[in-house]
Amino acid sequence: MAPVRLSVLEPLLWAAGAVALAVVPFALSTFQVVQITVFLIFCLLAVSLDLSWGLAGLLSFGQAAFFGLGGYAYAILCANDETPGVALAAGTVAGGVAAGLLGYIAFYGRLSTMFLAVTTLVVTLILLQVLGSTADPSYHVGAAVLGGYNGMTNIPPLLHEPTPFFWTAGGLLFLVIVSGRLLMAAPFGRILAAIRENERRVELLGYDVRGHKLAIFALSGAIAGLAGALFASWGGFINPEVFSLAQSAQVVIWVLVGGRGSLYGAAIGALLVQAMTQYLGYIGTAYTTLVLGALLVSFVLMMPNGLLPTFLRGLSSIGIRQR
Amino acid sequence: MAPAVLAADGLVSGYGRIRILDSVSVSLLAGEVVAVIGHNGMGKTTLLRTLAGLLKAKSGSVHLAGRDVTHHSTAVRSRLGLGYVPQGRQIFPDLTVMENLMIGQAARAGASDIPAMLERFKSLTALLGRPGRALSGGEQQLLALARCLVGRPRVVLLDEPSEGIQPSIVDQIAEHLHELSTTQRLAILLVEQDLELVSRVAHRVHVMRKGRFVSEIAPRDLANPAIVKEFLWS
Amino acid sequence: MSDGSAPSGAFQNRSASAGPVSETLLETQGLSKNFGGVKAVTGVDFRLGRGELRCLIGPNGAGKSTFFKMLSGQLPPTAGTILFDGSDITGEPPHKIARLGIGIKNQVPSVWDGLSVYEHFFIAAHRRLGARRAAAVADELLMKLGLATLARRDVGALAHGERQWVEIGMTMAQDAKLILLDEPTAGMATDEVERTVALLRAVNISTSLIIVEHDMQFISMIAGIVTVFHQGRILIEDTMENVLTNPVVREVYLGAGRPGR
Repeated sequence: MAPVRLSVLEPLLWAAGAVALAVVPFALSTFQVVQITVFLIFCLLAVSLDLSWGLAGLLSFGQAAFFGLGGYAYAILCANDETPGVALAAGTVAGGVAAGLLGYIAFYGRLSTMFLAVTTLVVTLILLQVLGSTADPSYHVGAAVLGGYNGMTNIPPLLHEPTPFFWTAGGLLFLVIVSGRLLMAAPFGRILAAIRENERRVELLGYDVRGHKLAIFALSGAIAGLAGALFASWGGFINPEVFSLAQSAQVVIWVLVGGRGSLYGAAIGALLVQAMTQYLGYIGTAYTTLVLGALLVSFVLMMPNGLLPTFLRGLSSIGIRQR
Repeated sequence: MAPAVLAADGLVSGYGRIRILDSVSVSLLAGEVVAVIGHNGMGKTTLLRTLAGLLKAKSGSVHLAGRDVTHHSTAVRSRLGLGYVPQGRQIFPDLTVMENLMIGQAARAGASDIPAMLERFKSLTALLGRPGRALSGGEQQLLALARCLVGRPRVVLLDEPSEGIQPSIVDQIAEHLHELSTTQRLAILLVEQDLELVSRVAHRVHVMRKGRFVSEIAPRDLANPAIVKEFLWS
Repeated sequence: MSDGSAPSGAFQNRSASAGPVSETLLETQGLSKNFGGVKAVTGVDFRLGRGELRCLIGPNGAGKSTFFKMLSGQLPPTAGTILFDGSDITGEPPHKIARLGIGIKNQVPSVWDGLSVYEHFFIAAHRRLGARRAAAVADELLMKLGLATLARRDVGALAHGERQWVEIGMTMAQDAKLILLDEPTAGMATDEVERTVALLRAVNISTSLIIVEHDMQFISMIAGIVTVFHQGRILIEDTMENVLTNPVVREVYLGAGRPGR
């Protein structure tokens, strides 16, 4: 489950990815561009979890919380006549600050990793309750009425045209993945990997691991918040559904399916699962959840390390080297 | 002549694409103690793991009392009489000494060997209710050995039983091994760094380097530093 | 079977050949550790001089590793104090103690399976050095320890003894004032043990060492004073010859006079 090391081929991969992102919208219909944009946003959310979980070993069910807070922050600021660009930044900050707070309590309070997983889940569900009970119009932030379970609608988009918005979301995903990969290969990233493998050993060398864990957790929260703000912009709405158990689990499932630790795996997992969900809904089967569940179970049984690591291992066993 | 209790022929194995065992053949008769010595990373533990079935052999064969077990699981090999005491003891830390022994007994039909085992390992009798993790390293090593023997194996693979063990208990282990091979006719394949222990119990000593057996030394020659230097550490 | 317990700490039978008393680097007073009802370490008064190389021997379960864990901050003492280089480090967290200059190689190799040998040394050195100098230290250690061919190999794929080397190398990269080595030669062949002796002698020039070992030949090659632990207390502290001939030590630890490998 070691993260795939930074290889010589990667910059080529990045170049190809950038070109693909630039060119793809021209080959697709407007509807498809809009559809894929939300997939890219989910990829971003999945990558945020991989940075925390795959790299540093911090399993969090709270990415949905930071995602949702980012979305609400965007909506609230826009409703208060802020420019969408600033609102987007605010969403990122909201996710980061929330994660920082939670991380501080968890890591400086010496909670175990198990506790972190449970605590983040509980916080997400609390947000679900709290924001769900804001139906009364007296619940508002400035001009933004929170709207209870119905949430907020008519949220102004960041960009009105689908293709530029696609490029924005895709561009941000690209940026996050490239920076993430560089981070993983840098000393800070290697130390996080060491913390994941044997935290006590890192402490015995004199490192204060609490600070490292807090930093990566806050970063992953900020990225999730960014994804949330983009989501609110994409759909024009945000409601407490984002804080549901289903949404929290969804992010973990994406990373499980795609494979932890490489960032690419997380993105691929999100794309695959969401495309699958979409397709099943499209062909009209009444048993979408059941089919998806069966697919996931067989995945876990046959490819416990996730899609990407299994695929790469298959490549190396037929002679294609992977550094 | 009786068939070998354990016979491996041309074993090749490793991890992923790294080949560690490079065609190793070894055979043990009942009551024989064969030692394998050599540097770190030369494949000694890999050999034992492959013989035990924990690692799949890429080629070659393993026979237990004449039966081909090359494609059999560890559980099957264990039931056919193969015992394995891995490096680091690996007793069950949360189970008591008694429970550890009972698990060793569980897979085998027939009367309980535990009373006889406690006769043999008297120091464990006082520790029966103690959980595994509360035992000292030396006590754990004796428990690991006892637990393995309770299953009445015909051949035992031992990976560095003296490692981290105080000298007086290493003495006890040497005596046990000697007695088991002579009176119980137990075949023992011993991986060790403690040459004195090896010289006390082994009938044959193989030197392993880079995944192969490169030479054989007479056990009594292990006491001679000049021979040791020449054959082993050149 | 004799009781074997002696008054703790009193530096008994110190022979003249031990050399002048040097400045104290490490001192424990009444150090104790209880686990529930089990008294692992009881009232240990221990003293180490700056630049000393001390060996710690004793039966399995005598409390040696527990003692080390308290010194390195991995276990909080139940009672007593630890003074290191002038400061009271009793109960301090591991990372603070490491920064004050104590490095430790644990009994069971504590390493990062998914990281390479090079990365282990780099991360160990990087704590106090910038990336470029840490890289240089890492390369140098790979050479010194003969691990250069394994530099990029994941430590999880290494043999048991090789993992010991990696952890020893990490303590060397820390540039500590005191290194605690818990069974450094476990799993090593005779000539590897000799190389370790040479290595540790070189390290001892700038770093004090306390080494737990069962290999009598190793200890005779390297030790000045030997401290013997038994049932959680210090039984005797003396030169190697005196310790080896002590009847209590022979009974509880050495057995029938084997000289070791």
